[in-house]
Amino acid sequence: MKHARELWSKDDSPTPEVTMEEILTRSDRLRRQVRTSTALELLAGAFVVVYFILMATIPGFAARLPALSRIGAALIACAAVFVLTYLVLRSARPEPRADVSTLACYRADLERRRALLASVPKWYIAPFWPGTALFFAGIAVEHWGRPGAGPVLVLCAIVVVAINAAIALANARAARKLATELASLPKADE
Amino acid sequence: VSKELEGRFQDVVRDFGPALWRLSRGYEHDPEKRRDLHQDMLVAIWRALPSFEGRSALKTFVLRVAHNTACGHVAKNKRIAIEQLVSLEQVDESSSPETRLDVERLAELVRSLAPLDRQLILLHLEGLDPLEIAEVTGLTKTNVTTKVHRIKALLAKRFGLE
Repeated sequence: MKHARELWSKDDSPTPEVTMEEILTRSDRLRRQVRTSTALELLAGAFVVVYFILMATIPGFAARLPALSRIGAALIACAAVFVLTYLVLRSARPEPRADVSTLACYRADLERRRALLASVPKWYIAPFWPGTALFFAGIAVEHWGRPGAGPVLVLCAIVVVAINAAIALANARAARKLATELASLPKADE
Repeated sequence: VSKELEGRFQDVVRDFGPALWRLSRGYEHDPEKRRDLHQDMLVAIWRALPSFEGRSALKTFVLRVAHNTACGHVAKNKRIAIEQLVSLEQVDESSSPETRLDVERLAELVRSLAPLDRQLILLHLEGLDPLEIAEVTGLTKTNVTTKVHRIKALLAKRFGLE
């Protein structure tokens, strides 16, 4: 009978040569990639923030908005700042460590992702609600009584609620899958 | 970069390079991605090496960092959902003998396993004993021994391997 370890150690492709220079370059590139990805997230968020701040402060920038909607736009800008900060601080994957076992590392990674997904309604959806509600309330008050305004506003509200519900449900489903995987992991002292 | 650290790293590459290359085969089939993962492991070891204080064996240290890197690599890989991976128990139940005995078939089996079972089989195939596997994974020796027993049974049933 052939030995499994003997078979496993066979490899048609030789171990690639890696120079010290390649390691240093790759290490620097990884650092830069993390910085670039954070910068891009911040830039995208900054665009949302600036847009809603302009909406809140400059009359006639996007449309002539009522005062209530402008307060709503300012709150949406604040929510975007909060969500961005949260995302940058909480979503970063820690560097692989040697002082924790692979089981602990895997568990921590699953738990970090599960917690982030499970709390999406709190940190991603809820912060936008006050601003969104005021934004639409302002428009509703302004256009109340005009022909056709009611159904359009109701439709807008339904779409906003449906999008938020879909985001929450999709993330909750993904979090449940990770929770199942977490529950199936053996305890270290088992 | 201190010459001493560089020297230590070169020793690691010399001593564990082939094992890390084999390990990357257990995670990636695609040659390009495999090379990428292998380099990521080496970079992670290079970064972690200054923290090595000799409290565990260098082999344990290197394999922990490598497996933790590979685990993150699997998590990042959106193509493979967790539920697509199977446990040793599941694969053992559905196992039928392979008509062809080659290393790629064995690697396919390894890649189909859930992360922890995959680590266990890879460490076993690298020749680590249950105590060493327990040190790397954080599982108890009893748990590892049971799993290794199952791995051996599976390898015998599927590939006719010892």
